[in-house]
Amino acid sequence: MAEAARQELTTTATVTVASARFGTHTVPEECILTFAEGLVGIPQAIRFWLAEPAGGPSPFRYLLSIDLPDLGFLVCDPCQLWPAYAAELPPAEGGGDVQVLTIVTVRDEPRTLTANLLAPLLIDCETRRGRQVVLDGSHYSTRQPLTQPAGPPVTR
Amino acid sequence: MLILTRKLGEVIRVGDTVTVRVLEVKGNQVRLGIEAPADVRIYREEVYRAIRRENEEAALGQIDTLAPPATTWRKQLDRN
Repeated sequence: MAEAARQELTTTATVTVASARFGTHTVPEECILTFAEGLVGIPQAIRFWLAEPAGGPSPFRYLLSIDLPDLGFLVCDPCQLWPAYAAELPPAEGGGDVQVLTIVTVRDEPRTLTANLLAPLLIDCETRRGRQVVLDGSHYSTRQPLTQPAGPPVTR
Repeated sequence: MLILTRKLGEVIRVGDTVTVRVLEVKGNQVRLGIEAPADVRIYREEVYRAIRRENEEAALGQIDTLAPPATTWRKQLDRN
């Protein structure tokens, strides 16, 4: 009985994130992703959650910070766009399933979308712990246009 | 800045857990061997700066309205 009550508590625990930019959201604790080291250059952003875009299916999702409520990124799964990419990633530390995401930068004038393939986000599906890894020594760019193949540059 | 002179094979220790060894000196290139705990991230400076800058730029992008990125995406695909 006590066990059942505890279970109930853990499944209903939530965190409320109030953001001037993204609105107020209630995030179940089991959906929280923990980047213990933060992101490169943003070490204070530890906890995130993934939001689905409004308006139907999309290859994109939103990685929204819980610690810095107005910080958010557009992300997508690079392995869907560039199938060879998965082979270049380091093996999972625990050997389990890993979700791969890449941060997408939206630039205006002209509006372009680029993916940071040099520094993907790897998230352990079981522990929901993530980190931004650097594929040092690879040919990948921090600004890979989404509509072009990601391969070695023609000239080096 | 602390400036130290080291010979080939000699080591610098940073704190209790990080060592940097001079492995090879060839012309204007130096090869360094770094040993550090797994939770200490080591980057080439220019790579670190590029990634930090990209993270900062991505954080500034206009992603507030959730639908437009998907629209743009489909348009870009259609063009190809």
